[in-house]
Amino acid sequence: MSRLVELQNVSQLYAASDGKPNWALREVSLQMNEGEFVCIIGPSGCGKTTLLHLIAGFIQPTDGEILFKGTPIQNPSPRRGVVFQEYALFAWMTAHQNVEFGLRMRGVPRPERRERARRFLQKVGLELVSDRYPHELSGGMRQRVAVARALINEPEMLLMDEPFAAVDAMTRATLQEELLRIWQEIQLGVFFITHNVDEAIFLSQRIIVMSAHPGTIQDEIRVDLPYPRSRISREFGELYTRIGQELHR
Amino acid sequence: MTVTRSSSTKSYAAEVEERFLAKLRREKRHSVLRRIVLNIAGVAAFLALWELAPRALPGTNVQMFPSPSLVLKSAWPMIISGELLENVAVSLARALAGFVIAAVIAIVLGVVMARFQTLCQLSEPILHGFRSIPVIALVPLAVLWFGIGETSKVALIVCGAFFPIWINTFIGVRDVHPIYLRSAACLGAPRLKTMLFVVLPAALPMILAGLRQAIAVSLIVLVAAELSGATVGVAHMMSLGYQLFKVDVMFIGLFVLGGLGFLADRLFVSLTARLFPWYLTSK
Repeated sequence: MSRLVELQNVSQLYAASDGKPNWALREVSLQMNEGEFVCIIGPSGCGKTTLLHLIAGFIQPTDGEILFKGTPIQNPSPRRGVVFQEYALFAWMTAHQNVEFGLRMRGVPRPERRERARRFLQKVGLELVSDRYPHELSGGMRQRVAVARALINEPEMLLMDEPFAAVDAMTRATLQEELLRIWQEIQLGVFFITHNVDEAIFLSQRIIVMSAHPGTIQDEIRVDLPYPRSRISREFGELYTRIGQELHR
Repeated sequence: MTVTRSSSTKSYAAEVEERFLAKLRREKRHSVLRRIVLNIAGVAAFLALWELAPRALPGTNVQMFPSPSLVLKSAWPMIISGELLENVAVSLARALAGFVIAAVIAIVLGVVMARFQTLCQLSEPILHGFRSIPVIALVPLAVLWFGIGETSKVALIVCGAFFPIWINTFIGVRDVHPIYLRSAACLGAPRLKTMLFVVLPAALPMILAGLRQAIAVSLIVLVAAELSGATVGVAHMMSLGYQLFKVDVMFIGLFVLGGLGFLADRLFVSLTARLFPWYLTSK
């Protein structure tokens, strides 16, 4: 399998309010393969979101290099779709218009755009509410629209920043299963940030545990359990305990 | 405990839905009607009080403080002859022309300044300096430069209406939530399209607030400009009333101006609700 993303000794500094430099990330090196599902877990302030913003191309690293398929990342690109925590849907567009946004920006003609948006809304089970505005949708529905909006560009990877953190537990479980189904169907790389141990084990093939001050990678754990995973299996429980201990070290 | 399933026949559901929708329609109609009735009742009560007050208070000079019926009596011939309508039409045309020109310049400049820092820093001292000059202070100058024709009036209204729109647009565009810009960027939106499809709609609530404020300012400046010299217009009509000591004519002007301001604001609000359905309902 070929390399999708590669970070080499990446550091990110920012100026604190007293003007002193602060290390959000310190010498982080990380690889991700094509089609791989990776979860990043860690306490707040460990630089998870900074890491995602770097890979998305929203910011440039203070030091070190970030490669996407061998070339340095300089700008955001539709090849790397991003799903934010919430409130990222355009409030002035319906679900359908949000989903077709990427195609519209690239000048895809309207009939084709409509058809493809309809197909992707169907993929996330929202074909019936396509004419509603974001404020008329539930939290879970909004995140489904956000996923469809990113997927319509046929990205090679999806960057997700605690996408299910703001939805209730039942909806969250459904969204996790749907995400796995889509990932297996489309076979794209997923870089998924969470602070939920259960979510990380349920979803990913590899879990990267981060620690804060400065943000560094503390450990990497392979999850070799077959999909769909059972939360009540012994292996699941062992992983849960292990990661829980690492986070509270 | 036994759970009995309700008869979920289609006709039953349809009947419940129909009843529900009928009730909803009834309630909506009722609330609209109630509002109209109360609005009219409020105006009627105000006019009645005004009509009765001079009669109840002995020694009131009806020449100086004419009652609504007197105002209507002097307005009637002016309405029939079309004189009043002409004055209103001319004044409205001036206000509208000034408002539209100001809106176009102010929105473009506001957007550009908020997006290009160099331009912003170059122009902010000048613009903020001009902003603190009351437009009324420019009236004599405008008459000297442009005479008492349409140009001076429209120019003054442009000056007055420009600033509230410009400053609101600027703040609205500057403070667009970065998550919207990032979303657009990672969905492949180029700069100009981001501006059109993301930045402008995101800043719209602020822009609309500026436009609404500018409507009121336009009417104020209109009156000041017309008072300083004009041959036709609502405020010109009032100034004639002043010179001929016809207080009732001045009151006609007041009624017209109040009505125009109210209607313009209502029109703006309903237009907003129609054009941007996501905006009012999402609040």
